[in-house]
Amino acid sequence: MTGFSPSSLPPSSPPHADAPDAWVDRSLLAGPGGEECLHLGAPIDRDALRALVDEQAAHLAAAGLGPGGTAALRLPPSVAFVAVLLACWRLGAQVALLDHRLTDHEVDSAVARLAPQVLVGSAHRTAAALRGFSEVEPVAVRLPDGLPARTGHALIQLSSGSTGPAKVIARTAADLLRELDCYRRLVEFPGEGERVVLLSSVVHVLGLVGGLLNSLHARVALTVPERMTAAGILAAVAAGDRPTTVIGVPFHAELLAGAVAPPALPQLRRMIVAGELVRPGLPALFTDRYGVPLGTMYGMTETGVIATDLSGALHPAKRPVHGMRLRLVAGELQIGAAASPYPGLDDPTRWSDGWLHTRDAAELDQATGRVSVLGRLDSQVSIGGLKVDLTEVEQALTALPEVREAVVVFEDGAIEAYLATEPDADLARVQDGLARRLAAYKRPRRLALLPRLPRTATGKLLRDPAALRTTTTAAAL
Amino acid sequence: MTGADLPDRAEVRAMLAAFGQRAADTLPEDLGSLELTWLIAEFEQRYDIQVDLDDDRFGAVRTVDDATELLRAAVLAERAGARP
Repeated sequence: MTGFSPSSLPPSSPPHADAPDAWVDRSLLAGPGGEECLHLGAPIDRDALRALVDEQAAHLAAAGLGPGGTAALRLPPSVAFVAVLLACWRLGAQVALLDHRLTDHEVDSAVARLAPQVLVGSAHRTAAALRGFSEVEPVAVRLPDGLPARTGHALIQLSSGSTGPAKVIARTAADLLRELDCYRRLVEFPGEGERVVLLSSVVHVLGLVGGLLNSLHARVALTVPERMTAAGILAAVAAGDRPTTVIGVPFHAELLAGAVAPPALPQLRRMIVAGELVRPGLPALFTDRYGVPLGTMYGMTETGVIATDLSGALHPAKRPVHGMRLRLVAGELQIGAAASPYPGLDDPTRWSDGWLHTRDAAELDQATGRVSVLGRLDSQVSIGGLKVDLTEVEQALTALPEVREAVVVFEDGAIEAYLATEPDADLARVQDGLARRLAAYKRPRRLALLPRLPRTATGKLLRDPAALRTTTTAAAL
Repeated sequence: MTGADLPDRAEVRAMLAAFGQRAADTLPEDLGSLELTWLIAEFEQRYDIQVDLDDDRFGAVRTVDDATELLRAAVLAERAGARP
């Protein structure tokens, strides 16, 4: 069985019941009112943020959101995103985060599955490819078919699914607080009086918990650069005096390592990346350029941070964070998790008997407890830290009327598709159809058209990139 | 206005090769979104320009040739005193 099926969920306590009362105010909004906590274009102190949360809570309550209610957020990284998220949680609601880059088609299908009572979007379509944040006016719309929360989770996230539709991943408020406590115990992770320049999206776990929530919780000033180019990121680092940690994905470290003659940045303490494997050679290149370590973390949406190497000294191994239990079963890394993070999904290949199956291949050093992640065991790939399942891309392609069959592979860090189409199919129509169905980061870099797709002796579609390329070259002759 | 001293395809390919320290003969002709982001960062750094694209224009740059055209237009616009 796959998917989110409301009727199959057992009754449970309401969202936030497992966290202390008023945890949003006590754990995320506590501290001196005049202290800067966010900087997205302009500094915002805690008093101003509290006022924005109050304002959004009033709007959301007017739209009918209350304790045990459900909201879906489709907002780009922005001050409004932060205020709406905290306001929803403070009202006792369960929040689903939808990446603002998803297409209308993808959002419609997510809304149909999750049935939120309130959908919060932006009044204007904000579109600027390299901007780190947007200025948006949130608009909360009450949905007629919305349902109240059916589980005690505070946070719902979607991940590209191996069965086509996105996978629903849920976390409770107490689990988010547990992860924040893990970060607090890591002395090399940003703490009080320090500063974070955040490059990762706040919709995904690294940017959300490691970036935004940790900064609010640990009283770290959080800056998001206006522009996500090397020059824009370096300007954001240079703009503050406090000890600064840059948090992003390996691609951001590539961007910075490629900067020509970067300015002296005495406040830069380290960069921390997660979301995909780091290319060999990149940590040394980064340290050579900036004189500070490139630390790495390993985690997943289901649990947040799992293991870290913040000093870069253990690379590629990492030390599990506090309380994390790891084991290897037939080469697959599994994580101790008392409950399944997949509401309504009874799939023992993902979670069983208190263990979460990561589908990552890894090595565990029994003597030190350190873990080295080797790569995926399934069809999930990472594009700039964003997870994409190749099966989802294949299914989106084959759903188009022009496409008879499709094989999607990952080659040289990019997604490539090989297609057999109907006679006289127009490639531009295929591309347009795909653009309506899939967010840009999930779309293939290249579409190769073939009269028919090569198959193995047993009739299965061939998935070897080299063989597919050879067939394409031969077909072009 | 002439095309003199404008960046060309070879220059764009050289910038692309620096992404992930790749050999020139392994470079793809089609660009992924990360490669395009990398190229825009390189354009800005080398030519001291700022290339602002909305999502639609960003998505329309699919090949090395498209990117070369984008860069040339940005450099010309900068010289003319207006950003694209």
